[in-house]
Amino acid sequence: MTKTEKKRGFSVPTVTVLGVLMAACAYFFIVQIAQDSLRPAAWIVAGYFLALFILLEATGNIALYRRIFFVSCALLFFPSFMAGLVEARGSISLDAREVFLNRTPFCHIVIPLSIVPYLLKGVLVFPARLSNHYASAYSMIAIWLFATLTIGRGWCSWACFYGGWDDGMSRFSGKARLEVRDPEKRLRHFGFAVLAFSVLAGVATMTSVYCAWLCPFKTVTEFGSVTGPSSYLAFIIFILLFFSLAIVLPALTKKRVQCMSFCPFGAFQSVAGKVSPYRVGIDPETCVRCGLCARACPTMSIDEAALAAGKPAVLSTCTRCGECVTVCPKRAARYFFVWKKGCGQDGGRMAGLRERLGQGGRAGRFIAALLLAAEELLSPRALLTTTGFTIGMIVAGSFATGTVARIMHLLATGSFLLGGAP
Amino acid sequence: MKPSLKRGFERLIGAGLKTLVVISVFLVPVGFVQSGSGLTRVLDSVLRLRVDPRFSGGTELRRFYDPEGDDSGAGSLVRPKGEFYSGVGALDLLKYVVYEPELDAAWSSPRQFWQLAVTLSSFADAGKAPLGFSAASIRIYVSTGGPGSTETAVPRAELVGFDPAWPWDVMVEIDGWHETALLRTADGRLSRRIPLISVPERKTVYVRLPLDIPETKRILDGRATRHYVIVCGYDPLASGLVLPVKEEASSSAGGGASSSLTPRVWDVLAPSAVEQARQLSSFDEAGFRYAVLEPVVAERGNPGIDLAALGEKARVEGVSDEAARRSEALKKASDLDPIVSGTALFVLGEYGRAGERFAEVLAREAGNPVALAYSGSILAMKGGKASSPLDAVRFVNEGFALLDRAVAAAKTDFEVETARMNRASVGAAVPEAVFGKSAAAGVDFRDAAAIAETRGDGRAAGDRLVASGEAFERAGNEGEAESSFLGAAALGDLSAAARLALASRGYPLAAGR
Ligand code: SF4
Ligand code: SF4
Repeated sequence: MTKTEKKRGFSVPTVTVLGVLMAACAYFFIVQIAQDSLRPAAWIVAGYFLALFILLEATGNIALYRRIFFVSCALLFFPSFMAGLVEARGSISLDAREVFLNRTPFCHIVIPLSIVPYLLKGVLVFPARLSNHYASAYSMIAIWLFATLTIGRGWCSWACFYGGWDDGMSRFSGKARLEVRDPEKRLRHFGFAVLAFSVLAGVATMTSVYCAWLCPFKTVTEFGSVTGPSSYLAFIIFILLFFSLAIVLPALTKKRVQCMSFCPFGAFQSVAGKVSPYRVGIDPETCVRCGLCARACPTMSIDEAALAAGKPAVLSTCTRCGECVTVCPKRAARYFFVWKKGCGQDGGRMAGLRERLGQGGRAGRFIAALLLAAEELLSPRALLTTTGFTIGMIVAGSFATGTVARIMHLLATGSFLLGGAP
Repeated sequence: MKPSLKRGFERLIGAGLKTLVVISVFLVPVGFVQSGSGLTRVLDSVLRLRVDPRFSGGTELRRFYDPEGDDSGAGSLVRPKGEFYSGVGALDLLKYVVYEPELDAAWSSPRQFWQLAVTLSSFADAGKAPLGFSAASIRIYVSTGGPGSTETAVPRAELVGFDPAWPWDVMVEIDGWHETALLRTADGRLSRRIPLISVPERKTVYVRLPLDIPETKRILDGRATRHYVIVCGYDPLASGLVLPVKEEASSSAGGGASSSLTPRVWDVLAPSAVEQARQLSSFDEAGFRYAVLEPVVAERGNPGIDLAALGEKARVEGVSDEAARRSEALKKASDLDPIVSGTALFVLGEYGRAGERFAEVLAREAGNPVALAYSGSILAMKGGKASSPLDAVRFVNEGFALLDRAVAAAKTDFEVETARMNRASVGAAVPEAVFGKSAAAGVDFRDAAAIAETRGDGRAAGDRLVASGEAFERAGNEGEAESSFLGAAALGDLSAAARLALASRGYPLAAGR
């Protein structure tokens, strides 16, 4: 840990308060909701997440600890998700019966694709359970609403299991083998084109065309059974998209190619997330135009030309991942509240008063510490990271518990499945 | 605006927004603590999501109910010896649903089909069949209006014949041992396996007839079709896979057959057990003629029932019932017994004065269930008029607290009925998204209906069962709703409003009843 990083961390009282809050959330969303037999695994997961959160807040190294958290969530999600399907219905394949019974897990990407058909016909064009299930339409809509109102497109760097995969792949190698530059912003606009296409195709066919034909993550969630030429074609498309967009390209470019250029939800959330109170911004006065932030940004959301021109601009595709915030040597890149023009220092407004109080003996130092903690706790960085972490934990918690429990089960019994397939 | 004022104003807005953000950070966990059913209810009442029926085989055209427990043919059949056929309800047909032909099924191959569904009373599965029901062999014979046959697809299998006016042209054979159903045409030209979905949780099996053969293509013009639905015993060794029935039951045959022509049919889709017995006993031993079955008709709307006329009748009946209730109440409004006068004033809509009467009773006897029940309703109604939503919620909750106390304290039938009806009416009237009382109201209405029925007031029982069904529908509990509606439909004397509610949902109603 460098000295700069150390200084970026919050003070001990702040970390303590945030840690207690997160411990309560971890207990509630992971330990308490776990079945008795899964409790030991739930404690492990809760402890692991809490440790990451405390490290994140104490060191201020958002880039590192958020990424570890985010990638862990994804890695712990997929095995549990797939095993859960096998346990519930004998295979991960999506067969006619599952569609007929409306039991297809509802994922957030379906949300933007269902809106227009819903408005036109009043129906959900996706065969999902509506409620009483972790992957039901209403629970995903509820969590999406919370996420949108709070962290906005931060969903894509704190909560999305697909994003976690993409993020992990984009960090696979130390150096980019393929340098991407996109002055025309075509790559970033491509996601919006996929969104537009998916919505229009969805309206034309009144089904979720993206899910049936284009989702790269079908490969690691659930396949439609290959029953004929069209499902065979879909299968090939899924495999190709998965390997290119979610493995090869992110690994070569060190950019989150799937999230940046293909995911319709990501594009949609760039717009819907405007209601979120948080933004990432670059203070033009402190910025020395070194370009480190733009290079670090995994979604190419920092306009390099504007940055070079001394008018740094962060695009709406920003996923609030904090890479730029961490990498910026001058702390010019920061989280800020949308209503605050420019982007003043976090926790710096009462510095003078605190300093004076600090010189005034024990009581003064105590009050100064309290003031600092209050300022830090109300800073956009503390609020955004805490909310992002909480939402990520809600989304991934029980899956992570499931995976850890299954690993423990595997070691004890030789079977990854809890209770075996039906 | 002065710059300092502007700055102050901006700061104020900033502080407000910041407070909102801080609250939201804590709202996330709190929201999810409270979430589950509460949040789902709110979302459901706003969005009213329903999955597009194209994923599940299309929309229902007609639903037919068959009486429960009529699974002994004409009434005399006894099950074979041994465990295999012994499951209660395993041969008992309960429901048959005909769907609209689906021309653009979503995520399905084939995209075009005609779905039919059969529900048994039980999927008792002593033989452990792959599809979850081992004993039954279901046959659906359909007349789509073309040339057909009046004999069974496999000669001497079920031992029945079909109405010559409606010969079948296409049929399906379904059992729990084959993953697909067998489709046959009457002309013998076609015998092909078609998709089948068995859902043991619903005790239902769904079959999808292709729309690429002339027999089924015929239905695309929206014409009425006629259906014979038959439940036989499944016997892999017998002719046509139909379990034989003999005089005496043995391990390989059912018993109770009076003749060699007794149909090997345990249940057939017919409106009543009597009607079923009539059809299944219609064989003619001397003339060697099989029993002749009569079809049910699947067509749009509720045949024989004019919904508009029924609606008008319900309106007129409603007005006269209300007038009768009011004139009765007027006579009792000044009764010396505060319970009697309070109830009458309540009926007359004079809630303030009614409340005073009940308060008098409660001052004397704090746990009087009738006074508690009406006071609870009056308090909850006050919520409906409150100007602030917080007050409204508070009044309703306080009202419910009284209603719960009333139900707990009620002992006599009159008290139970009054307490439950009050709680049910309030539960059904308040917004489901906020209070989530619809399912409880469904139960209360049902209990109140049972009391009315024991008293011999079938009309009130019918109205309450319909109200129960509607409350369950609002709660999204289709199964309970169906059972309340069916309970109402089974009653002899129903108000026009109840009949309208049932008929508009496609429940069976004897015309003119
Ligand atoms: S862009 Fe799509 S896949 Fe990527 S993190 Fe966002 S929602 Fe997930
Ligand atoms: S601009 Fe910064 S916070 Fe936003 S996505 Fe890029 S690196 Fe992450």
